[in-house]
Amino acid sequence: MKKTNISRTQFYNISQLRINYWNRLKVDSHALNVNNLSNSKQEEIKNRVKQLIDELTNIESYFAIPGTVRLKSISNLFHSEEYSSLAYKINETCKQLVGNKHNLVNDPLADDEMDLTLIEESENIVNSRRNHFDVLLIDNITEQEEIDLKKSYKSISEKGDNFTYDIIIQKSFQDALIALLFNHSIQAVIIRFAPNFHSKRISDNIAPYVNSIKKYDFTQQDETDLGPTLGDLIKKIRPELDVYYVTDTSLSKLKDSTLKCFKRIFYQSEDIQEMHLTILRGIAERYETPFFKALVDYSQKPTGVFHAMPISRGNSVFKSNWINDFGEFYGRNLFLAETSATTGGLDSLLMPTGPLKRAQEKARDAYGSLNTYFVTNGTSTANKIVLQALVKPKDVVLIDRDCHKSHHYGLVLAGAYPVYLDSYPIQEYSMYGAVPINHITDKLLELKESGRLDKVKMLLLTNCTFDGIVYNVEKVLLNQT
Amino acid sequence: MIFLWDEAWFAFASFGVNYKQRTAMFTASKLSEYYKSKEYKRKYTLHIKKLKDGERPTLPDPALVRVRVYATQSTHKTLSSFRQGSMIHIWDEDFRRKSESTFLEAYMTHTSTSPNYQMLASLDIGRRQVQFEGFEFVEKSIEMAMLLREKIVNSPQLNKYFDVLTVHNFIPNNRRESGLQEYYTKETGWNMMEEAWKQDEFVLDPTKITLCIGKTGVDGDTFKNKYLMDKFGIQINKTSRNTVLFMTNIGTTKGSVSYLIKALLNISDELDDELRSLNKKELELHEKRIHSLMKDVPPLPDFSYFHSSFQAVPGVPGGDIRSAYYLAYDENNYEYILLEDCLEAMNSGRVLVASTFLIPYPPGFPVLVPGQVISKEIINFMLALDVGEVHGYNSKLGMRIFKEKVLKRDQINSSIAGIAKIK
Repeated sequence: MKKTNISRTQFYNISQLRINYWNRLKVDSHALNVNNLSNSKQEEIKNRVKQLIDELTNIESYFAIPGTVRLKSISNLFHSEEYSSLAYKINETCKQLVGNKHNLVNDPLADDEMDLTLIEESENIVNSRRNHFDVLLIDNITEQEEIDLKKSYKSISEKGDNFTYDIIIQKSFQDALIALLFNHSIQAVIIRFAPNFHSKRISDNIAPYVNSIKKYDFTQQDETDLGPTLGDLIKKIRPELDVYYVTDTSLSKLKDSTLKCFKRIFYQSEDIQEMHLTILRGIAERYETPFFKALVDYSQKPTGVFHAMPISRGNSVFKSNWINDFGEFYGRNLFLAETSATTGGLDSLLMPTGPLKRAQEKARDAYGSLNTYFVTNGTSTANKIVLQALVKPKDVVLIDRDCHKSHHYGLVLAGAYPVYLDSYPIQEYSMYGAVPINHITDKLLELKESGRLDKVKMLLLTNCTFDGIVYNVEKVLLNQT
Repeated sequence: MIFLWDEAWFAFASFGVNYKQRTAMFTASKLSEYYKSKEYKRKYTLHIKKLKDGERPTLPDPALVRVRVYATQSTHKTLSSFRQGSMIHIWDEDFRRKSESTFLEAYMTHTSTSPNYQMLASLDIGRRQVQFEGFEFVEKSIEMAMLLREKIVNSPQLNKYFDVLTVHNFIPNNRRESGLQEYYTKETGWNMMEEAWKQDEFVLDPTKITLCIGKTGVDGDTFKNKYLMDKFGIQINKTSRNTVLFMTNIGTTKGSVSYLIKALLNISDELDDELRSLNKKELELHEKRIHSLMKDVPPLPDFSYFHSSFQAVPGVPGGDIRSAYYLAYDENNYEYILLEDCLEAMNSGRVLVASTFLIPYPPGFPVLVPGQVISKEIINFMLALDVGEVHGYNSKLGMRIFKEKVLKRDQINSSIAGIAKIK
């Protein structure tokens, strides 16, 4: 077995590291605030605090909250030795940052005395900033320009907006990718002009957490191409995000590929009002749930039911003397939304033309397919549908023997000839692993030698398995195509 | 060839940085782009040039190749949706031309004409969620799983009875090119998983945490019901003889992780007390029980083979499972044999062929399918298996197998056909 360099870290991910740093800073800043420290002790703590502030300034630059401005004021308080204000400010920041004490506690055992429901309840309160997100803006601008830009975006947002956002500015290609990796609130990205490639902020402490971006090396690329390259990359790794491009290149000179990978292209001269509205519209489009909305609308309309389903609108339930507890348990809305109608704003799953069609198209885009179908009878049925759709009697199907029952039944229904593949066994724990690629190849060779290769219609595998074994899908596809 | 990936447990994977590259749809789109690229065309042209006379190309022709990949997902298993809410995702470049109409027929064959609207709405709203916070929540669920792994590995009290199985327990060395052995050790901390997920033939999904409980002397099923469920209200699904499986998902909170650890700690304290109270003889029995759970595991049987009369082409893999299935609709074609009588019958030279699926649960996959020859390994496995639920097995009557005349039906049929010809 070949050994490669697997990097190791003390914390599982950046958010664990970040919380640890803030906690340590909190403890140390409180210690500084205590008067009776010996000089040497105080020096020691001051050194640690300085280092922590530096590290956090670096990390927090990828987040909108608490933000670089707050870090600067923390740093100022520290240098002017206002330790009481420093401790207070850090304490407040910690609270704001994690929302509640549970996220602060790195050790889950500290909650030993509380029972599960209590803990979960308090965790749910965190979600107070609903429908708020961050916009990542990539541009190599000065600090003053940054402040001005943020101000002008703040000034155009209105109270009535359904969504609110903060702007985070990154100055290089790599920093943009790091921000996308660390900061989970980013929902839209604006790439302005030509950013630099290299980040200057990959410290030793965060280096292990940005491994996945190191494989992207575009150092050789012309700076003017970096914007579109970044847009293209984001489209691949985070396709759900809206990515906009601001440029000076005239339309005739823009490459087709550039035009394709951005949701919209803006010119420097254009008003930021337009950008603001476009960002909000992008979010609203993603927020839209066509079928859920149609169902809510339908349930709010007064209708008379002269059709099937007495349970519809709760009619047979709420007037009953014997089953009204059923209605009380589920509440009125469930019954208002129960109907067998396919009209009145609703749609038919078997031949969708309205909200169900749109909902499936949105799912298609979200899951990255060319076509997506909703299935209401579970994956057992989904499996039988696909088998029946593609396999006819006497077609050969290569299938892992320990896959779900529904596949085997699907094969019986389709009349296919299964060739069973064996997963490697994990004897000690009475489990199966998965099917090795060379085993698939061997079976195919066997079929080829007996002239049956042209009968092979399908390869069917379970990924991941119940126990969590995940295939290298790309290798399997490349090997057997 | 068409690929069908059963992603029942993998709907969330599209939204994780490392996971994504191992999903059907992401890979299909990547390959589709690759086969259309200039780079691939060059590679293919070079490949053709290098071929010797009579040699056939091993790379697909970029002008003809079609990426045809299907994935089925239980959205409800790993994302927000009501039970039974599932999706079929398709990346089939021949869909319109070759499969759309048959797909729609199949879809209508199996889909209710009164589909549940609440379920459809939940699929719709679940899609919104993953687009806004899938990335965040998937990352969180991995973090929760890692915390759980770390906590159990680091606790001496838990280690007395429990071992978290990790990468090297599940995946043989020669299928891990990166050399990644485990996600976490006490000594070295966290191993980053990027490399492994990029190149290894198999990787372990960290959110599925298998705990080996053999050292408790309690088997998986009992541990699940009597300990986790009855005492702590903790619900899990899968067990094996000496393991239980915990999963974290996008709804897992830090609170529930700490509750689980607390439960495991309490159980281990209880086991401590129990052990202390055992006399010498009882202790011996306890050790024996542990040995039995850890060492006397029934060997897992491979698929044997289809009986020659059910082979699509004799001597070639591929069985006519449908004919076997429907032959058993005639009660004159089958009989029953008790499990304990099977070995003797086989020793006396009889070939036993299953006329039905035989699916022990757990593990839940068919040990036998219709038309399959019953092997000694399968009988031994069944005899050693101590599970209550075996679908397709009647504990009073035994296994349902084909009568010998059914296995000879081809010879009879062909001789009849032969006679008919002569006439």
